[in-house]
Amino acid sequence: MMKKIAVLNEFSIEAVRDALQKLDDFPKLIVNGLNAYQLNEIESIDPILFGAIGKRIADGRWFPEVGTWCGEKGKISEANLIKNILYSALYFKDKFGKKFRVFHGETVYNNALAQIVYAAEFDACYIKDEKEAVWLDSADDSRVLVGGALDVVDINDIDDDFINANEFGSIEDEVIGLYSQPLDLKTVRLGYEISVPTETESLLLEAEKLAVQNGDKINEELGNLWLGLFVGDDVKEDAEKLIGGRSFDDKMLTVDSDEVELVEMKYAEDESGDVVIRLKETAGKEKTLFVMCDALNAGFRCQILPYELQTFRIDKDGFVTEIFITE
Amino acid sequence: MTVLKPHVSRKITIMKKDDPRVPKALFEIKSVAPDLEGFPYPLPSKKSDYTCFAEGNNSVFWYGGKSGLTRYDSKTDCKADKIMFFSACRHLADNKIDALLAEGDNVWALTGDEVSYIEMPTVSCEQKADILHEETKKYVQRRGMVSQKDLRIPRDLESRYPYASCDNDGLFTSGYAMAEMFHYATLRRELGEDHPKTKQARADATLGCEACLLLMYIHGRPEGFIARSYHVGEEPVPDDGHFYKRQGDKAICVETTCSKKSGRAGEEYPAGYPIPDRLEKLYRDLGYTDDDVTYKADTSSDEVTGHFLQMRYAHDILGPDDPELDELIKDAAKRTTAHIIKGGFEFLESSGKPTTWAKWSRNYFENDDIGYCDAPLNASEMLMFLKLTMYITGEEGLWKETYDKLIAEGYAELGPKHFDRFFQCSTAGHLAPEEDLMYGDNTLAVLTFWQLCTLEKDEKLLEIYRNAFKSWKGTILREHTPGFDFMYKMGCPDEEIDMEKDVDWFNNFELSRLCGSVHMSDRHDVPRKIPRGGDREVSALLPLAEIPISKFDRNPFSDVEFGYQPGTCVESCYVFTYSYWLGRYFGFISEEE
Repeated sequence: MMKKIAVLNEFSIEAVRDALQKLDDFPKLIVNGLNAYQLNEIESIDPILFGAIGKRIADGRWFPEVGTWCGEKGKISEANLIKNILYSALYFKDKFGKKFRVFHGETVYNNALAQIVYAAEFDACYIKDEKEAVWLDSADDSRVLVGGALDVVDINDIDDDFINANEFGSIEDEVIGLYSQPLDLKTVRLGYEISVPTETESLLLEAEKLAVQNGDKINEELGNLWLGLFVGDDVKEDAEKLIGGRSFDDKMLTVDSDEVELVEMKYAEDESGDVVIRLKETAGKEKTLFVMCDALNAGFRCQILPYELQTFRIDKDGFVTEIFITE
Repeated sequence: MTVLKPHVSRKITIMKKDDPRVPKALFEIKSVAPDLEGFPYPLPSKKSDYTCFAEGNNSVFWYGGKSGLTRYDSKTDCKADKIMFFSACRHLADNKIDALLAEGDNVWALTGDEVSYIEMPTVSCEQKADILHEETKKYVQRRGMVSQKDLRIPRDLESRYPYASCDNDGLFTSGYAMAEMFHYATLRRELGEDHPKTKQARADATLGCEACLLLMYIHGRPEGFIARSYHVGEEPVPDDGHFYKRQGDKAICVETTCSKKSGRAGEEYPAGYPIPDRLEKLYRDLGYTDDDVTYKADTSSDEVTGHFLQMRYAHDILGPDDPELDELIKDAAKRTTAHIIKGGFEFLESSGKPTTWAKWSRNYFENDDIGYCDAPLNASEMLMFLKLTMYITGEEGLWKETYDKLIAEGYAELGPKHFDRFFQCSTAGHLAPEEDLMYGDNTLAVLTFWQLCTLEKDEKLLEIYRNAFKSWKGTILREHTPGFDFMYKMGCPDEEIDMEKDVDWFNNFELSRLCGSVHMSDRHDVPRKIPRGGDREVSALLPLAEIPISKFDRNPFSDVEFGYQPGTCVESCYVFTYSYWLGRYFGFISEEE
């Protein structure tokens, strides 16, 4: 019998309390739901309730939605998706000490979805739009498994008889469980497109680069602006203030190919002082690159695949590690 | 066709500092740290680690320090040659360099009580192939088999042990033999049959082929089999598998940890099938008889694949002028394929049980977790064996009947499922495919699909085989190994390979296969990748001279140094000679006039 996936659709204190009560009453019930933004809100409103959810997450009875920060609904730029995943994944790691293998999304956000999700160390996706399990390939040949439709029910709509009569599972386990079956799936290949960040996103990215150039440790401020952007705040003016009319000196970091773009340069989120850079190949041809950054005592070579996005971390001695986008 | 030009290569001599060859001037140098402010290229050591430098001919600079030696050629147009790195134990006795003395194109490096003399001769790739081949013939080859040899004294090739052991003698010797067949065929085309170099190449190719064929007869099993390797006389038999000692018309399972565990130690099996005189002479001429032979079984699909490929090219290239050899090839091919068919598409030990890693049956594909992942390659191997048996023997009969039966059962369609299944199995274990790959499988895939794609005439099947080959593209092409690339291109002519990187591969190959550790752990110029869960890799393919020496079965991106290797092993030349002579024979490369 296919397991039921009990999902919390309504975001309200009452709905959460009802779900927790059902978890208390039915030891085999499992609940799925709540993204980073929603949990963050709950924590600020009702820390005790937040603690109860945290306990259920730790017990493996509540599976949160690890994906975008607040469950983005439509198309977003690559830069936006990367930041969404970064802040969401770090949130769950910091708050619950847990790493999840399945990325939750509402839709295929952009053509780099497979490579961004894979480069964030997820092993599969659950996309609400997608009804059929498929392999999703990005232009750089990155791949991710997209789990198909699950038998979803609303946790607040089900009664005791229904709970007693059914077996419940998590989206995480059901999607990862596909790997242990013989699979014969269709491959959906996403094309390549230049993903242009919005004006505000570009300003935030510029502010991050300037912070590194000037040694300004303003990750918290920048992070808050990104989170504000995700929930629809207008943060353009704040981003411009951080930039203060300055511009980033492109010579700070050079790559010996015009077909490779420095899409991001920022301080690592762990406040170690390490610098994270992201490069993207834009011409569809594999290259061996020489990347030079005297200001960070770094100079390294790397091999980048067609349309690949690579993330590196440079430590204080200029040693470089290729990392996941979740840092 | 790409024209290869003579290129600088590394030649290393390490000696004690009181060796009379060391120039006195080396000890008189007062070392000064180089000024590397604004240096335009990534440096293998941290700038602050460099403590000495020397300038050689043509503005080549040598920078030494606490962690190895860097050569900087500001004038070269070749990106791969701008920066070269030399480290212990391969190129230096120690990574801490006290002084440097340039001498023309070469350099002397003082490291404690020892001195490295690094010569940078300009040689053509053909010269390199000859130098490496001579080293292999003199120091590695044993009764025609070519794998590797251990040395008693580090860096002293003359101290090699007279014997060796290798699980994959058949596969590696097949690679060597094919290289020499392509060598011979190329020289015959360019210099004529009677040229002394052509004659020598033919003799070398024939010996390689005979050594391989001997493994297909040495067991004496009437039903056909292939031994992994064999030992003679007092050669030590390693305690790592199932070995059988020949005794008259029987073979007795030798007592080893494995045979005791499997309960086969001491068991006797018929071994009366005659070993052809022509092959027997490989050990008989050294004073050994059949009863001096101990062979290794539990043969894998790797071995079988290598043998079929070498039989095909021996039949093509040596066979027409050597009917006796050609008959042996035909007999060996038929007996091996018949054995596999009769065994239900599994290779059977004398006991009647399948070997561990030679299974091409539906039962293996459908009832074994590893078999599920292996199925696309192994099913294709089976079709390749049948295709080659038909090609070599010129017969159809059982071989065609079986080929058609397996096609009808869906064996061909399994091939293109490789990447899907491999990605699935890797990711299930939270591993990236490149972390999970058994690198020898790249070799098996290129050999298998190269043959299927070039022999199959049916358009529909050909398309399936090409799709199957392409499903290996990711792990094959990223290595930029010319031998693999050339076979891939022949199988899939519409695909692109990077000839520039292939040329770098040939150019960076060293002039000796003497193994020695290289210093990778704190290289400043290459990032380490955080793995998903498997082995660590570096983010760039480093020059071959700067990574551990291996056969075709290791990950060239590996960040694992395979342990400390002081120079007590010499590998064979086949990695280079196979790529080079295959490329020459099939017209991918030529030498500058």
